[in-house]
Amino acid sequence: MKIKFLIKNLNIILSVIMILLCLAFLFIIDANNGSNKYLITIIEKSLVYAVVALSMNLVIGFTGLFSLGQAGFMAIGAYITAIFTIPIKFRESIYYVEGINADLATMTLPIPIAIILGGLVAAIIAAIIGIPILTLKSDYLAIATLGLSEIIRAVIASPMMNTITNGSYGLKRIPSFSGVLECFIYCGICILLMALVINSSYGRDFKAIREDEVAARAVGIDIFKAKEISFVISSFFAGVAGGLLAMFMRSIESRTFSVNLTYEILLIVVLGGIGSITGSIIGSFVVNIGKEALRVFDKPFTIFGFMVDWPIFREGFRMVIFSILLMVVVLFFKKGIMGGKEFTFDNIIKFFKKKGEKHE
Amino acid sequence: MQYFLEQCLIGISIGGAYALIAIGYTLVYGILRLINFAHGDIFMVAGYIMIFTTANFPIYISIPITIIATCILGVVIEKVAYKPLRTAPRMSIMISAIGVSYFLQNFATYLFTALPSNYPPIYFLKKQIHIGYLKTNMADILTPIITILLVLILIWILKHTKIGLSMRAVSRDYEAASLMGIKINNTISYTFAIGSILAAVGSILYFTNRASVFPYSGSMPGLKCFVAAVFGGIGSIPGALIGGFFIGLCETLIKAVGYSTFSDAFTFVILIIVLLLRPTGLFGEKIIDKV
Amino acid sequence: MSEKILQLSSMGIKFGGIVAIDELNLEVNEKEIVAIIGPNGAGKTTAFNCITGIYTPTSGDIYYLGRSILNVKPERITALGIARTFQNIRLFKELTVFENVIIALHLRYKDNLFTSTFKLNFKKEEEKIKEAEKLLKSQNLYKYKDEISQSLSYGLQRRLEIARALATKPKLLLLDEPAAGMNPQETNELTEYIKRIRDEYDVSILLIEHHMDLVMDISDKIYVIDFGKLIAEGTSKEIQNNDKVIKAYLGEEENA
Repeated sequence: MKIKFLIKNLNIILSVIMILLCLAFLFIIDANNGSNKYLITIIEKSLVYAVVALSMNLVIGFTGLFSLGQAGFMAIGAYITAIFTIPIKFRESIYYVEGINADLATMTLPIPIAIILGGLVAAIIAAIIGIPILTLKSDYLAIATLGLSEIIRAVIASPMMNTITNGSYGLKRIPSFSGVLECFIYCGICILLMALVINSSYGRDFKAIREDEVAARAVGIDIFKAKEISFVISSFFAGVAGGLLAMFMRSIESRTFSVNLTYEILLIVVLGGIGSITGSIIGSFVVNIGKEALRVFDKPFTIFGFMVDWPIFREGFRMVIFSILLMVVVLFFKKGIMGGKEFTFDNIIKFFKKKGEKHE
Repeated sequence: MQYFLEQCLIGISIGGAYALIAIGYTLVYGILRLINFAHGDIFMVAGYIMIFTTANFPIYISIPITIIATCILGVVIEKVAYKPLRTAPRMSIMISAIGVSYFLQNFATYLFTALPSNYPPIYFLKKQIHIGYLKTNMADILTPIITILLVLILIWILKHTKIGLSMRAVSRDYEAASLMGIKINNTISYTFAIGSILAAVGSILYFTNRASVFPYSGSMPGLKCFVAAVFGGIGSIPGALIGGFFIGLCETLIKAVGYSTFSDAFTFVILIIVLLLRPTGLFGEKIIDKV
Repeated sequence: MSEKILQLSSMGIKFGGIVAIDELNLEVNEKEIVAIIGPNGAGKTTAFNCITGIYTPTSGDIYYLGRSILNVKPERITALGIARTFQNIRLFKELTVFENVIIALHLRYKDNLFTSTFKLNFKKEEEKIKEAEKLLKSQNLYKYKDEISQSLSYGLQRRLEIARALATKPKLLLLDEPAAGMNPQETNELTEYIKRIRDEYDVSILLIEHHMDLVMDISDKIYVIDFGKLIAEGTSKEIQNNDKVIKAYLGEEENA
């Protein structure tokens, strides 16, 4: 009886164990954060990017809407988080150009509330703009959301917003995470919530729309409503992730949130696997760790005792390799690392069982 | 008044360059139904090729080299990044296009660093000209003329040559055209070649007035030119021409009255309005214009 | 006295200048099996698309249970009780057989985003899963429950599409060429199958079909369309002896 229970819930048990191991690991690095600065930076960045990547996967991979507005929604979240959390004593020196808006000068919010507020504002904007935009067809939707993202960025950077967003000068001294553990908890909650949505009946509706809009309507799904919900949830979490990114980077400017940020996240989603939750998370870690690992190619290096100092190895070469690798994935491994499947222990067991059967 | 007219000239000049790029988008979209996100970066690379060639050759050699090299680049990109995905969902090809754009930007950063590189001054184009009391330079005057000339040649090609005929046929009905014995892949290559040539010319005209190129200088103009193509009605060449001039003019005038931060955003506001009110653009409905 | 489920009253639709359907009158009564036949391109599928709200007719009206459903959105029409299958099978291809059916059940097990996300309604959820399983069992699809629907054989895909349509608990089921691509034996089975569905699920059925044996066998009433026009209606006997029909459609077969 007990064993049966164990086997039945093996997936959950192993997953919990794995999360606990992660927590323990993070706790250890957190404890000696002096010597692990580099590692912590990479983990934090990967976690934040995983949230954005998953929020993008929600619309692109699960709902089939090719939306490229993520950077804009992140900008909203990032700026709201920054505006409400920068310590009051620094504000005057940051807004040195035109001073700070009188109402905002002394207003602060606790970090989690500021982050959620950022997400909500992003979600509201998405809800309003979604009504006309989501009826557009795939590539027009892509370019319209891309445009929206640029409009948001331009508004933030405009001189009229100087007293609120500090215009094109950016914001500094944003309070950071107290440790990698805090970042893990914030990101973990976001990812968990999105995973729950994806696995709910709404998530199934999203997938139905992705597969076939006409058939989805024929079984009674209000596709417009479902698309709107997906877009709004995705934008909410993009806003939240923007807030987290602001905390990670500690200083932001409007240029951070250009189209290229969206492209980079899109490539994470593709690499991890379109339509896979765990894929987006793995993709984010692979990309961020990979970028760092490839750093050796940015200067002459030694391999097996030989000094390789061809002139091609210099600043920027890692990004060339990296983009070539990405193109290889896009062209030859269209399904990415996970290919729409999930990394669960159930699937791993199944995978090995199948292999075993083949061998017999 | 004088200021206004001078700004108009600048706007029309930028618009001409935009129009040339927009045609590249329109041609490719017409045939592959693909927003070629890398087109703006091809335009950027053309700028770098020009810098590189003028450092080694006189202008009258470097201009043709630039045009030919850009043309080859465009065709190679199509063969490598788009051809293998011909049967894949449209989203995959768009992602591939974004990947190419990412690659070109990183590659340019690697070769030339992220800092702006100086664009070679082409003295002939830089020459100051006075028309009445208006001060302007040769590039501003020549750009719209060259643009319109090239468009006329292009329209002639499309109407009266075999390549043009097959391009029109493929864009109208991909499968039927292939059944009729039209070599689809060749036709697509020609389309990319023409688009890239126009982008190279556009690049020379555009950067002459800007004096510097950096790895991201293609992405924003690229997106704007796509908007221009949508505005004029995607698939329509006269539409792309008018769209290019319109976007260039509006942008310059907005900058002129001091709202430069909004000049990019304005383009996208136009895009969203056009998509909502008239998704086919100005000339989208006339199928005869479709390529 | 049986109830009128569906009634088209001089419904017509034009695309540009082309008349796809002209003045179509048609009735489906309770628990009837009605067939629409006609040569390819006669406008049969277009009629289905009008009934299910994908196209809006340019003239005439469509009544469902006595109420006009003109300008009602497709998803609302499904909610009202008209379900359909498609000529070229439109399953949620990459999803499993089970998911295909349970998605169609969402319509009747409404849930809000919050409770659905946090699985607070597990009783309802369990019920839903049970109903999906029951439906799959009754259609002999249960053993393929976790297969990706695309990987099923053609015949099974058709059956799954019907199961999915039934999950919305329709009063009227529209079947667009259910026998297309089936061999004679499968077609024979289909005859029994359609009758069984009608009795078990209490639905009226309107179908488009080219297999004349099937149509003649199961239809209570047959409508013949040619070039968008209704050229004959009646029982299978009446249709078989109708000169116009023989000329337009069956004639070829008789000559052969």
